[in-house]
Order: sequence, then C-alpha cells, then structure tokens
Amino acid sequence: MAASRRSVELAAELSRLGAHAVVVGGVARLLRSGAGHPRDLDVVVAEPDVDALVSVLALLGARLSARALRLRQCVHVDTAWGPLDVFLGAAPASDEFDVAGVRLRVAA
Amino acid sequence: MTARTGLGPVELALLDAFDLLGADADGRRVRCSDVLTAVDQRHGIGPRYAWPVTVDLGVPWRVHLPLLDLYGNAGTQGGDPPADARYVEGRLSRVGALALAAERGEIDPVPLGLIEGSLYREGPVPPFAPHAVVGALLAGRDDCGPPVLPTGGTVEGDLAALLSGEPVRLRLGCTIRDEIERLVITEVPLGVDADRVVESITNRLHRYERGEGRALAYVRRTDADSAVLDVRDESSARDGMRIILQIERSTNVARVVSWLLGIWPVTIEVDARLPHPQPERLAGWDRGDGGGLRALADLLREPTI
Repeated sequence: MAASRRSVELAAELSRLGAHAVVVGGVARLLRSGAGHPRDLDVVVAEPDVDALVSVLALLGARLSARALRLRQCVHVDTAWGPLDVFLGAAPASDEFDVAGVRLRVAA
Repeated sequence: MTARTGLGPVELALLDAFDLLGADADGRRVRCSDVLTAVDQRHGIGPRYAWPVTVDLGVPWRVHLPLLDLYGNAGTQGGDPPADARYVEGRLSRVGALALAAERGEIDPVPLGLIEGSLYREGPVPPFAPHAVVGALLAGRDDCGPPVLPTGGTVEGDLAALLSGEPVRLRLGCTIRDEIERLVITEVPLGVDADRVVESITNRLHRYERGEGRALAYVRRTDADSAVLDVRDESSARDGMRIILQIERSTNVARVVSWLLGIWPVTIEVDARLPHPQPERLAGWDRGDGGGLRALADLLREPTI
C-alpha cells in the first residue's frame, strides 16, 4: 500500500472517530487534484478541538500531548497509518469530501 | 564526503580520535566519552552531536560494515537507546582501521561510500551489498545489483530509474515468513525499530466505532486482521528477530500479508537518488592501484566481518 493511501485512510479514521481537523498539505492536494504522493498527513486543528483530537489519537494508539501542541503550535506524531503533523491554528477555508463513507474537511 | 572513503567529516574525526587514543583495531578499548571529549576539543563537535554518529558507526543495524567495535550498551534494533557514552567502550574495527589508513594516504581508497550510501544518516543514497560492490569493482563490472539494506528487508520501487540516477521513491519493507499457523517478521527496514512495528500492528488490531448518539465502543475489525489472533516479539540473541503473528488456521495468508504491508512502519517510504548513474559511480571510482580495494576484499572473506 502506498504511503499516500495510508495517509488518506488515517484522515478518514480521525474523522470517523470524531476528530475535527482540516486536512492540508499534500493529502489535501491529492484529494483535490489527484496529484502528488504525500508521505504523511498534515492537519490543522482549532484550539477548541485539540482535546478531542488528542483523545481520538489515543484510541489509535498514538500519543499527542495537548500541552506540547499548545506550546509549539506544530507537533509530529507517529501512528500505525504513518506520520502525522498536527498544526494548531484557525481552520483554513475548506470543503467537505466523501472518503470511504466519511466526510473529510479538506483545505481549499 | 571524502573521495578516498566516502566518509563524512564527523565520522572521520571520530575514527581519528579513537586511533589517537590508542584504540586501534588491535589496541585496547577506550571509553567513548573520552573520544567524544577529544573530538570536541579538536573539532568543536560536541558529544550531543557526535555520540549518535559514534553509535551509528558501530552497530550492524545501521551500516553493513561497522567502523567501530563497541562494547557495552550501544542500544538495540528494538529501539532501546544506547547507554551514556561513559558506559560504552570502543575501538576501531578492522574496516574502520582500513578506512582511516585510506584517509591518511597509507593505502589506496576504499569504497565505503559506494557500499553504505547515505541512507543510514537519512541521506538519499541507498546502500548496496558489500560483496557485490567490491566484486563489481574488482571485475570492472558496472552493475552491483539492487540496493541491499544492512538490516535486510525488502526494497521496492523503480530500481531501474534509481540506478540510472533519477530521483525515485523506494518502499522499504519487513521480511515476512509464512510458517505453520503463523507469520514471522524476521527483518525490518533500515531506521525502523522492532518495538514500533509490534506496537503499530497491535494498534491496528483495535478498532473503535461511534454509533449514532452512542459513546465510542471497541469492536474487533472484521477484515483481514481478524485472522490475527496474537502478536508477540520473540526476538533473542540466539534466534535473531522474530515477531510472531499467530493467525487462524484456515485464513487466507496472502490477504493477511497484504494487510500487514499496509501498516506503518511494516513498510516505509524514502526518497532516494544516486549522485550519478550507478555505472558511472562504479566505473568512475578512483581506486588508485587497487590496494585498498583488495584489502577490503580480504576483510570481507573473513567470517567475522
């Protein structure tokens, strides 16, 4: 399985479990245009949604420190679906995409 | 990188320091902290930077031909970190001594750069099998086969493009053996620790579902992974790496393997590129009169290398 497909699966898994995050970067470009081969997933999460994302990642066996994210604004996490970069900030403009029956918010 | 061996300046500084402290291949071992102090004093490269490089040069899961012979806790392939440099001793390995002699002009160049590449330090050049590289150079061939990782494991991708000097993305994977009622991971890719592999597989065996208006509930996946009954690490010094996946007797093994290969880091991807097409690298390598190459070939024939 290509890393890009694995990253899309991770985005779907996060959304399915209730994390509110916007997919940005290479996976967003892949979903919009079909171009690129991202090796990891980048998401932007707004401050009120940080704790939910931390909980969802814990369900997936990945450890994200809310404190570290708030301190550094950008944190790298390794998951069983591959690397994940989480950015803290205002959610960028996005559209919803349907991926494997899950609604994903993808940056415009 | 030096033309005579392909070593980087920090690597060379470390070999030099071991030798200056009397820890050559036939000498006594010295505390690695003393070597790091010497490197800091001579080159301004502090222990915080030089210690990880020292470990990389001395463990067989980072390089094909360790340049250092380390004694003590230098970490494990399972991901355990090395002990503090005060508690690890070391000296030059036979190959390390050869490399240093080549750098000092005492013998002709040694093709360590062609063998190890730079992937072990997260550079783009993959490693190749030592015997294949040395054999190709001795015979004047312009091909030494596909990349081979010091850890074993699989290397997939557009290898023809890689060898012609184009940038490619390689997929590095674990070696998975099919035994009776179980799959066994016996090798992991370069840079992947075995504990992380076990943890990721275990995580993927779990699944949580959120029903309408209900809390999250743990359920077992019903896909290929439902055939995996247990995951455990039975690796040992005697048997090497053995990550065991107990599977159902009647399961479709190919489907489980396919599911496994989808898990990070059972497979990982790296961007790779050779600095020149491989035939040019081999044909253009400056061997001098070949003394260093022959000395390395002799070392490779020894069973301890």
